[in-house]
Amino acid sequence: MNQLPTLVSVVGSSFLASIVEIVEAFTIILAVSIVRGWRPAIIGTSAALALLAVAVLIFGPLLELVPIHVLQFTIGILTLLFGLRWLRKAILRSIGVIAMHDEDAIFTKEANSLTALERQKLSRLEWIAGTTAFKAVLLEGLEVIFIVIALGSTRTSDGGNLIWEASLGALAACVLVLIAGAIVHKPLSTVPENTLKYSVGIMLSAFGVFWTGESFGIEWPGADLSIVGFGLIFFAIGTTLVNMYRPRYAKSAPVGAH
Amino acid sequence: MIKGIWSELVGLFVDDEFLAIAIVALVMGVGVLRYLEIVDPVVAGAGLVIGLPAILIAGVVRTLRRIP
Repeated sequence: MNQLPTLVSVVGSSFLASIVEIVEAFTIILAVSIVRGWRPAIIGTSAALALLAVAVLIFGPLLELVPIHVLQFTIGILTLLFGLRWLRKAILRSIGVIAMHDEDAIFTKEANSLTALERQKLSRLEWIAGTTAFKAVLLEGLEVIFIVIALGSTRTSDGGNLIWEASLGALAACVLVLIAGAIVHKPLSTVPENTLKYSVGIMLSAFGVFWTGESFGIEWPGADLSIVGFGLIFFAIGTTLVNMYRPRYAKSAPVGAH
Repeated sequence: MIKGIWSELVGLFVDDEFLAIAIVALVMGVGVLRYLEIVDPVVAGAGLVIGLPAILIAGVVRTLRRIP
């Protein structure tokens, strides 16, 4: 097994993908805290993190009980759905037909929404602000957990996996975003989100091809190194599509980011 | 709220229906052919390596064609 390239791919992809998700959650937590104060933001965030921790504690050990081929097939197909979805959107954003993900716009939208509710003097505003933070952290956190499981399920030569290494990549991303957020105290809109999603979409798609193939008993040439080869195929396709269609579509109005 | 969270969870994997259905159909198709031992692993691998990028290309081009 070619351990080093695999380790770098797993930790790097986990780190980059987690940055994207944590920045998205941070934007909403910041909007909640600025409009309604830190209390509902902290309560909502803590509740979501507690729920995520419980889910990991309950379902984490269950993964060990699932037969390896079933796990590879399930994670492989979910990783393909997730990765190719990200890659398709990143390509369409690079071509210029859908708008770039704009953290400033999302921050303004969330802040305006909470401010409008505040004007109505709703008694449950604290609750609404808290659930907004809760929902954002829960959804983005679930994405991070999925990415960590998908990437970390890579088998090592001693039959183990790289869950801890992938988790460290995600944790490093979390620490980095929190430090950057605490310093600038505004949405982290300068993070090149589409480039990150493009890169991670390529890596997740490559891992997805590898996993599904492994679950069908396919022995890929070069073993784990084939993941790099799959990544190069997806990169070449994305680059070709962007170069081919960008001149034609770049001037058309973007249809909105999702 | 639970309904909203559920629909967003599904949205993590299914955004463009064509893309999602095509991926699942290809993977299941290759899986069935391998399970029944109709194709050998090399052909199954080639099916994934060629088919999945082809689905990505089709997904992007299909979206572009819908833009006036």
